[in-house]
Amino acid sequence: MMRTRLKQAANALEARPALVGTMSTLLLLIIWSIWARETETMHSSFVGPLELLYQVYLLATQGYGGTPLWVHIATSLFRAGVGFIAGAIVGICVGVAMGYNRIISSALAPFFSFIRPIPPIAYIPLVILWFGIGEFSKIVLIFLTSFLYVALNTAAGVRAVPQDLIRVARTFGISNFRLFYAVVLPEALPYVIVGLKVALALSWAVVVAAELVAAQAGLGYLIMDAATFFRIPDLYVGIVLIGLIGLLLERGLTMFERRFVHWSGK
Amino acid sequence: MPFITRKSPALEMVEPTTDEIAVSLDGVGHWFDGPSGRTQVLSDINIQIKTGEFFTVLGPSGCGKTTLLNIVGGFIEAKAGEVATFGEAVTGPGPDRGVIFQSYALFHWLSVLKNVEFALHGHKLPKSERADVALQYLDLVGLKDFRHHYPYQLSGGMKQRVAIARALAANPKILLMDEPFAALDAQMREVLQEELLEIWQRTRKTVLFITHSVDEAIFLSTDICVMSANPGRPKALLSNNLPQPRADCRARTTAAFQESKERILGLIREEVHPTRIRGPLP
Repeated sequence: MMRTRLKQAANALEARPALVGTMSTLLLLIIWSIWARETETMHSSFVGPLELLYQVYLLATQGYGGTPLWVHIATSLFRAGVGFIAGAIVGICVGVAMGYNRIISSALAPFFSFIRPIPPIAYIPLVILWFGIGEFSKIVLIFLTSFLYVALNTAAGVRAVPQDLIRVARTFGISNFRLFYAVVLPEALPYVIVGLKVALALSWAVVVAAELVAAQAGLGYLIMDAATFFRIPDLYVGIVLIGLIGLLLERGLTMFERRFVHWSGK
Repeated sequence: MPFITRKSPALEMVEPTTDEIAVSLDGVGHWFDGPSGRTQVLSDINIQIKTGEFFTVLGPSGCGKTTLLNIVGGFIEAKAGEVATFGEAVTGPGPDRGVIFQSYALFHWLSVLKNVEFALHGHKLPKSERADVALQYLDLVGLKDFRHHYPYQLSGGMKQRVAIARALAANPKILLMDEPFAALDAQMREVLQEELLEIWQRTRKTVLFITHSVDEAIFLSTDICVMSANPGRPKALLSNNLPQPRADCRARTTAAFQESKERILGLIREEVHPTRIRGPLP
């Protein structure tokens, strides 16, 4: 009797992933609130959700370090965006060349294999030495990150285009250029988008890391500065904002994917 | 020959000019050089397919029958011999030879209608007319109502019908079919065989059909080439006397069908166990 009830409840929950997700989030918030209240006097580095929300309001209205909050957000987004898009464009071009041409692919393979395991943040000191601490050094860093993943995925996508598909298209007497943009590119697009997703997530992570080291604005700067001056609630706000924006970026790209590569995975 | 216009139906009975050679393979051989030496895939292929014939190459896997189709399609170049279609040497793929693969090879990102329209790219047609012609061919395979669907929304049999409509839309003289129904379940396979036979009877295209199924070969073909393996070469060229029209399941159970099947199976057995079976051919 008890077992069948439990089973029924489990089945009902399985069918409602959004409800389960909301409930677990609420539960976490409640535990977090209670914990924060109990430890209020002992740890000043522990901030509860309500205090956090209030701090978001304060930051949004008063800014941080004399700069409005939206400027910090926009600065980080600008750096990540420019580096990501530039890296994606160059990455798609290089990836297509690698996918099409075995010699180009073989020639570039050692560099890609070597660079891939190096975390992009390892270049931060070097990039600062070369390009200073301005915008350019951060954009270069994100460009490298984005380029690497987009190029490799695009190359894999172009290589994975089935031979039969190309052969059928050729029987219709189409030009090489049309074969490329009307067959190879759409067929490789799902791979390219996977590359873009990874690249975007990493671009956002790397921009924060770069701003931690050297910046006058941006969310990375905000959390580093807040930690230095012991403005603990601001530190929390920075982290939460980074998470939320990263989530929104990912969702945006997923929506783009559903719209433009609706056939993928079906 | 001008491409069909809106006024003429897509599929008229075309009188076959029977003595014209559609495909000729003259001393064709092919091999691959690998790390462990040379693998002879095809050797000494001499085949002539007349216009309007339904010519089936029947053989076990590894006998090079797909390579043969790829050579006629112009996708790979034969390393020896001469290949010609309608007297002209094959130098690459072309709109006179339509292909249909086992994998359907549809464009997933295009609707069913756009897939068929893709074949009309080379024909100088206004946009609206292009859609009309594509629709005629979709109607032929019974998928007019599915024109706005995408390939991933179709069953295997429907996908292959779209591929057939697409290949026909380019109005090729020759259809090259590489085990087109091998991925379908048995019932769907028979349905599509019957549909293909009907289409062939109406269009009188020359067909080069590749299969490993004896039943399929007998049901469909006018001529059957039984291949032997290692290296692949024709073992027997048979003309199929199973009476027409056959686009009916009853043709499959006739005595003539069984007789042909026994004869071909005998040839194949001999191939698989060359030392065990001896004696004269049935």
